[in-house]
Amino acid sequence: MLKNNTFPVDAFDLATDNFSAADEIKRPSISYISDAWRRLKLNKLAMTGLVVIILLVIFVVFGPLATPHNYAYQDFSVMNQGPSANHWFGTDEMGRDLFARACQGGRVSLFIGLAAACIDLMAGVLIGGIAGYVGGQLDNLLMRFAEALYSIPYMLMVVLMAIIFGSGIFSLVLAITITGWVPMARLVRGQVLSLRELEYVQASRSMGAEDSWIFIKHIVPNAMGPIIVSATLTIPRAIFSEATLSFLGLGIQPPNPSWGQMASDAIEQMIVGNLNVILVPSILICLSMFSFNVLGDGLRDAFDPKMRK
Amino acid sequence: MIKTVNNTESAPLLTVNNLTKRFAVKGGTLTAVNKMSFVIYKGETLGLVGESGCGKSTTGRAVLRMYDGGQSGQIIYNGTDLMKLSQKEMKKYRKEMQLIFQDPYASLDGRMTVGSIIAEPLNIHKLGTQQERMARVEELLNLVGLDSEHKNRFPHEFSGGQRQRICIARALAIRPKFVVCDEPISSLDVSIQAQVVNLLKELQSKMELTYLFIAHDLSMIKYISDRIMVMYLGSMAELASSDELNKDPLHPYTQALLAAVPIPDPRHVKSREQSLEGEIPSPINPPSGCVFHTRCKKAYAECKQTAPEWKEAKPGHFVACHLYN
Amino acid sequence: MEPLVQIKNLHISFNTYAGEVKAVRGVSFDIYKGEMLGVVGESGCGKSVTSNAIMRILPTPPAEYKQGEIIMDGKNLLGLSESHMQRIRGKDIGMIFQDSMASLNPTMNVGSQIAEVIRRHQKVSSDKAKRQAIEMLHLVGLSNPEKRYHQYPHEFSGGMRQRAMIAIALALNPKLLIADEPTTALDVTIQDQILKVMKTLIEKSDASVMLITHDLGVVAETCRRVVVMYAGQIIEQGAADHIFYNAKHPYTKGLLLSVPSMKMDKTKALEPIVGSPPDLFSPPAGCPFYARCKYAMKICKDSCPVMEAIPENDGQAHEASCWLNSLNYREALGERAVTL
Repeated sequence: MLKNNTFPVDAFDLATDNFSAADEIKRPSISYISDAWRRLKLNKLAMTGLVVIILLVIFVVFGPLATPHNYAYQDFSVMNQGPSANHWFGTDEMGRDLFARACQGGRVSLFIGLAAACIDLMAGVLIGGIAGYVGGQLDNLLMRFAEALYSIPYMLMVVLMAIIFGSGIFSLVLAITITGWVPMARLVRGQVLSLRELEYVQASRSMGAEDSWIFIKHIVPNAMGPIIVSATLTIPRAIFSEATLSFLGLGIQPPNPSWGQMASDAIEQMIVGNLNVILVPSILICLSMFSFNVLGDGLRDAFDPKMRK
Repeated sequence: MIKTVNNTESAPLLTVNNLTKRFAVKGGTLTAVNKMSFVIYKGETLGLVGESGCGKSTTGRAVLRMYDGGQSGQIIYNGTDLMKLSQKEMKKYRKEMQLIFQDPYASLDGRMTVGSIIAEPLNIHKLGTQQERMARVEELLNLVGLDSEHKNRFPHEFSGGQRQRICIARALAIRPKFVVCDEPISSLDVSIQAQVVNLLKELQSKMELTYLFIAHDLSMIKYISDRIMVMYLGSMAELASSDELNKDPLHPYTQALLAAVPIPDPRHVKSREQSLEGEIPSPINPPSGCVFHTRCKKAYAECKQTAPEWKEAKPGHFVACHLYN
Repeated sequence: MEPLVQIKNLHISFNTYAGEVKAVRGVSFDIYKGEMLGVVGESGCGKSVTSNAIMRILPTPPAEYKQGEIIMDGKNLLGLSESHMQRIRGKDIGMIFQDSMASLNPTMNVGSQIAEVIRRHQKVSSDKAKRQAIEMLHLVGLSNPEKRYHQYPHEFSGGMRQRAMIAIALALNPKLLIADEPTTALDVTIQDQILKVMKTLIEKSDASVMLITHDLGVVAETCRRVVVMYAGQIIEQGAADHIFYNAKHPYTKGLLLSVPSMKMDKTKALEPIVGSPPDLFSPPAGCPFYARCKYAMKICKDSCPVMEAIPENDGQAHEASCWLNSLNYREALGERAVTL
């Protein structure tokens, strides 16, 4: 600013080199992913979910190393005890340490959740992506196949898998994912259909790009947002499915623990008066589902270009 | 047929004969382009003007074989009829023919850096080494007046005019000979349009390019076009050199287009006699006879019944209107 | 003459990921009764933000009204409650947007959208509102208004939708109509028709119009007074005649040279202004036009010029903010002083 309204001596000399700033951009550069991460960080609830998930993972991975007890070891002298210095979560009706069982059960439950999400993702992206991109008869065929598969009753599928493959993690994951990929495929197909007509895709085509190039370089990166959200939300659904099935006796069989299986065992014990046995798996199931859900919601908001702040 | 372009003799680069493009839509068949025939000479800029729904963008894309099917006619490029080639065979011609889109916001993939966007054609056709490609990207950025630093930034950080310059850089990466500019300035501020038009002109002489320049009004197009073609509802209405069209527009539609352009001069009084009434008819159900008769103030009985012939009313000045038959 | 709306020293910022973007930096101008005022500027200059501020429809956050007043009818619009503003919107101030398809509700027929505005502000029966709506459709030049009433926005062409928007905006005879790039998305022959409709209706109703556009031709054809904005500031304002024939700011001058005029011959090339407007994330300390100005001087880099009155023969107000117009400059350089 001018001091005392006096002009410096060279004030009216022509400026040299003022055009160098003509096309300058001053704001910091930010990619889509970094922007989404920044927006996610602003969402306190989603970040809480993320932290809880990380803690749960640490719990199930490193927990068994921290405790001296084994999840299957039965010590009938300490049945149905509350939390103590020795047994941090207490014991169940067979004298097994609940902390160790919770960790082991957590490994199973979380693994199933993650496996289901991965399989859904791969199958969904592949089938939905191809159907959406190629279109026409192939699209028709794939989608009708998906719908036919999806209409098979879920329970029937579970029992069928159990009969064929025996009960256990493998058949459980298979049962959950064999029809679970259909909603993901539909989502991906929808994304691909709308992206396919965008101008930058046409631009790529006009340059001579082949379909595979366009799919990998343009369609997939731009469709990832909703796909990641959907995958994140598949995890709690799978965990809950496993919990329900195991609770009903159709999933993980004792003595192998999973959170649902532990809950199933625990129902009887509630009458005896040991609430720990039911509280431990229930709280863990709720925590994991809640965290994944809020994280998924947060991711959806963070990836949504319209909600850009 | 040789023509004089910029005071030099020039041969035709692209000859289009009876190009027709139809789309199957809900109400029937939409004939977006109806038997268009024209020639584009090497080194010239042919302007193509018309309002929404007239088929000008479709024409530009049809010439580049961007559509699968629904198309008939001949597109002779350097002796080869492109209509007879499969999409696979077209790939090598795509190196020589590029398209610049209207919307600089939608035609750039927001997830990619500007550098990768401009390098994409080089990557698709595998031209040069990685280093050579990077060098070419920087060269192109400078060519369009942007900084090499910008190659690491993302499209959303740039203004409309700058984004269009990025689109131009991308189109020129593989040194094409023919560029279809599909309304490249329509979505830019009027003050920025001059920047882009001047840049295109400069690049045309530097890189010996031939342009088909598509626009929806006659104000900017005369600054870049040698000849201008006016389209209405899929058919050609008039074709003349840029100066001639401005001085003596023959077709009532051209006259109306010229009259409708707002002049940046408060003392100018607009003559209302040539302004058009009514809406543009639906291209699915075009009017009979001359497609323009429903809005033409000079229409008479003949116009409703028969379509006018394409005639050379003056040397080099063609028009399809019964007034000149 | 008492102005209808007075905007005083308006400062508006947006809080974004990169920090504070100062979109409007000290804008002051008046809108008089019954006049058509053109607000001209490039994308990003702050003209839409200013008009949205008058209607108080800026989302806060991320927008923030940092300073300034907008006085209408003796009241500061920025200080009113939301419910008070709702009574003003539609009734005292009407607005037309650029994208008519996005501004009309696709699930309601067009006529009901006009009737809705009428019934929100006036206690009339739905029949009466319908009749008024049909009357408005007729006034904006739509043929067969009774049929048009029941049609949906997607059945209208772009020009017809814009007419419907005008009908909605003018239904209650507002004192001020804000038209934000109303014809930018339209074909040139349709633009011609729409501008004609607007001018006719405005003349009848004596409303004031704030027409925002980047097209100088549209401004010249319709507006008596012009405000030129650049980088969040007003750099020149005055009667249209003066702006076009006696521009006193290099930006205005540059704009006029970069825009085609049918009278200009083709051999005279267009002279675009180099570069792009500055990023308002960190606006320059001096004149915002410094980096693109042919006449830039050393002082322009550090000090922002003040608004100076330009004397005109017909006495109409004309002011511009450029060091070339300052007395000090003219005295210091005497004969060598540049006259735009």
